[in-house]
Amino acid sequence: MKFQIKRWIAQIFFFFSANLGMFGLKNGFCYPFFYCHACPSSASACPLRALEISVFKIYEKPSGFDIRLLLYPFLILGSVGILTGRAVCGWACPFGLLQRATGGVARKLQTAFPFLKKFGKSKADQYLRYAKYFTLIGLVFLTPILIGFMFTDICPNGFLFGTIPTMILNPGKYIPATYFYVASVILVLFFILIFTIERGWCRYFCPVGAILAPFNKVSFIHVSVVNKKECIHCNACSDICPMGIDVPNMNRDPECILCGKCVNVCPKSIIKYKKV
Amino acid sequence: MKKEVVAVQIVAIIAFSSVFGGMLFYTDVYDDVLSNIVSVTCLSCLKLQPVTNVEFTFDTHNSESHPDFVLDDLSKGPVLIGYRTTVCEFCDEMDEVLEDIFEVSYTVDDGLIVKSKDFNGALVTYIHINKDLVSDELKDSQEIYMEDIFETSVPMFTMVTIGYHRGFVEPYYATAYGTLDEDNFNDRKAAVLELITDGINLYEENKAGYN
Repeated sequence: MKFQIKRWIAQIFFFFSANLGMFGLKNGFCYPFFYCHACPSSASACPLRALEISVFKIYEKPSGFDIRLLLYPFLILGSVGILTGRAVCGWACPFGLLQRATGGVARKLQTAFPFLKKFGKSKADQYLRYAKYFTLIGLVFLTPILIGFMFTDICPNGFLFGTIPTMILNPGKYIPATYFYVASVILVLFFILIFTIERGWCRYFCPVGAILAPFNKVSFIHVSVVNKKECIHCNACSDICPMGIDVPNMNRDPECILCGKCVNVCPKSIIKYKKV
Repeated sequence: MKKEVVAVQIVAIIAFSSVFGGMLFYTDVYDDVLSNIVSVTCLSCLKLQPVTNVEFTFDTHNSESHPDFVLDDLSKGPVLIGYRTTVCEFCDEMDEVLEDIFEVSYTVDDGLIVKSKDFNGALVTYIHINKDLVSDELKDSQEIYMEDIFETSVPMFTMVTIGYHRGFVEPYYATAYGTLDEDNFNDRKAAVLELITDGINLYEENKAGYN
């Protein structure tokens, strides 16, 4: 379990690193995870916002496409993705930290209400995992081009880490804009999701996770079952997996966030972190 | 299979890191992201809009772009434009207020007066235009900022500042007419100062992203 304490420390460290803007330390990079630059203490840019702006210019003017802002976040996420796959989701993302904190409640609720657990193992769960790719392509790329609507207009991350702190720190300075109430409803739904399905946001809707997921197939670091013949099929790994992966049968699964819980829990120690 | 994966990994990491390094070295994308995304309050991300005393807008009345004489001064700070005609009683009353605020003196025979003043570190430029005495460019600029209901009535005051609009920092303006619904000198002065304060606050909030 010491390993999981190290992960807590890493997540808290990255959370503070993401908020170094509170000391005036701002930079021109994009976060390699899901975090909002509208947070009063943020240090870097939201990768989704950069992607949206790159294509939103087309909506304003067909020749306005900005390839730099399209490539820039992709290259940052891609470099991190090649090295570690979705490990940033499990080790660095502040939204991941929040969902880790609510994961215990989600597990208890799944015990109290077995249909929640069943949903996590159902086909609907498998299909719903593709929703994050629709979020990425539809709301981050297509709607900004076609109708000028952006994912970040309703993003729960922006509302939680941006809107709420800004309203607390600047009372009376701002009033709700067009999508305020829509976004607040989405935030409530987000909390219902993460309190009922462990890592529900990462599983189903995170557009940054959708960008990083394919890199699990080629990342330098990944989690693997090294000797499947020794597996005793106790299913402890799958039961503890916050992403609901069928661990014994996974092969560089795009959903794996490399949290290492399966590595820790395997009684035969046949699940390991692997390099290359 | 393993060798293929290693080959993909090596090619990908070299390609990604070299293109990324090249972008950082040869383009201004880092500065663009820092000034246009990180350093500017993203109002659409916040789903909020600033509270102002008058209503600001990004869309010019006749869809024309902002005139150059405004954009030139807007790079230094907010710009307040006052339009009047030679014969105009309310214009005379409001000019007393503007002369007092900007510590400037002019008469009805002055067509164009430009005066900048420092408001606690924020530079605000006042442009006084007597439509009867200036060029068509200056006179017609009123149509860019006018409101449907009052059109080119005078006196008309336009505060041009900058605001965050869908990922970009752009000129953002508000227009007010007449004596600003105030009865006396002090109240009118307070109303104009509120307009100036709104302009300064919006400018300070967004200036990092204004090119």
